[in-house]
Amino acid sequence: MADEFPWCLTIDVPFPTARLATIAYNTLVVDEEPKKSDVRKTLQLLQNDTVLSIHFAAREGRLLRSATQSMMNFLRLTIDTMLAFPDYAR
Amino acid sequence: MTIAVGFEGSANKLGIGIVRDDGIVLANVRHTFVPPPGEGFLPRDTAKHHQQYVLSLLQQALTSASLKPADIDVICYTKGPGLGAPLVSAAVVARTVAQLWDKPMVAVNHCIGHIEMGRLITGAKDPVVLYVSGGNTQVIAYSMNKYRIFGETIDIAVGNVFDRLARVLNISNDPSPGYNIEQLAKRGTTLLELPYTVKGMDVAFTGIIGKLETLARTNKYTKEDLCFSLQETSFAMLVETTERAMAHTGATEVLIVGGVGCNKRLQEMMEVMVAERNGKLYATDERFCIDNGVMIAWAGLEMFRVGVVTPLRETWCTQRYRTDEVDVTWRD
Repeated sequence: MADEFPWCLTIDVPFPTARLATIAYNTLVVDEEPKKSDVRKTLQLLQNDTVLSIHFAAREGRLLRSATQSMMNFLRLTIDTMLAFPDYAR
Repeated sequence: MTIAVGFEGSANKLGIGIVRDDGIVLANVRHTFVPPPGEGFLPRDTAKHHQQYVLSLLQQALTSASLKPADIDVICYTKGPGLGAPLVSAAVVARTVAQLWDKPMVAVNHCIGHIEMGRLITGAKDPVVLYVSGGNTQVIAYSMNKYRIFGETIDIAVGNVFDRLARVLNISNDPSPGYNIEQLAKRGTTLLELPYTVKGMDVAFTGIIGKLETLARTNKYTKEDLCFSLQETSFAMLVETTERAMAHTGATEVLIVGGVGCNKRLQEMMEVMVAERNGKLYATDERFCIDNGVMIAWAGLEMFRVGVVTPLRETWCTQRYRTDEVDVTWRD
């Protein structure tokens, strides 16, 4: 099975607090890849919930690239939202 | 007093609205992605647009309502139907602020949003609803806790024909292709024959766009006549099916919602039919017809008042989400 998804990438994103890392996790974990998709995505919280770790495995390189690109855009959007409301993001 | 904010981004319009439970609209801000003439809006570019503008729009909405995040009671967002990445772009911000501000969320069906806001703004009580936009064409009536689809397009949405004709004729997409077609149609003089396809309660439009493309390629017909003929033919089809739904349900009210609902000629043709039946026509202007955040905030608020809350883990989006899938628990 592992050989069917040879294209892998893990992105670890550190956050200043466990609360913000958890908010990012809860926001991004909702959108699952389609069931029959050729990309698998796993999200988890590491290091006392302060690091958001996103793991991708894909059948083809181009699929890994597009899935990663899309995730990076949404990751940036949730972080920008936190930055837009600093009083609530402590 | 309960206050809801609504995020809408299912197509090329990004809207944020804030509404109070007595129906007062506190904010209604929108930013539209306008592609160059000859081009449609692609999901990737539209998502990028929404991501670029959503936070400034949210600040603008809060400022124009003179509210702080703490004043908000519930965060509503469009679950679908619509384009995947644009929907998720709005939902990501909705989920994030719901957690930052510690507020519950409500997932809203886009079509239900149009209907509920149309009822709020016009005061229509139990209308037959004609929902016409770039992505949807449905004749709807309420019965026993569902908005039931009496008729719909069996191929493409009526607004999609307008969008595609605008591309073929290189008509500007600013402010919208439909608006510019409506202006050109006013100067049309000759009605060209187009396929009038009504099958029972359903309608079909691919025949019309195919014929229009063929006619446009001959260069024998003016843009004005092509636009005029499109409006007269497609609107007649919509009025016919709406009339049949009125006859079937015994309803005396008709409510037109969705972006194509702004079209004055459609409203005029519908008015003739409704008046003949001694009924009343309700329509809204571009502030509310065109996709906006208030419709999502208001429908979400109605749901929230009867106890509907969407757990964060279930706040996903879906490209397909039919109007009649939703249990309408907030109406008798």
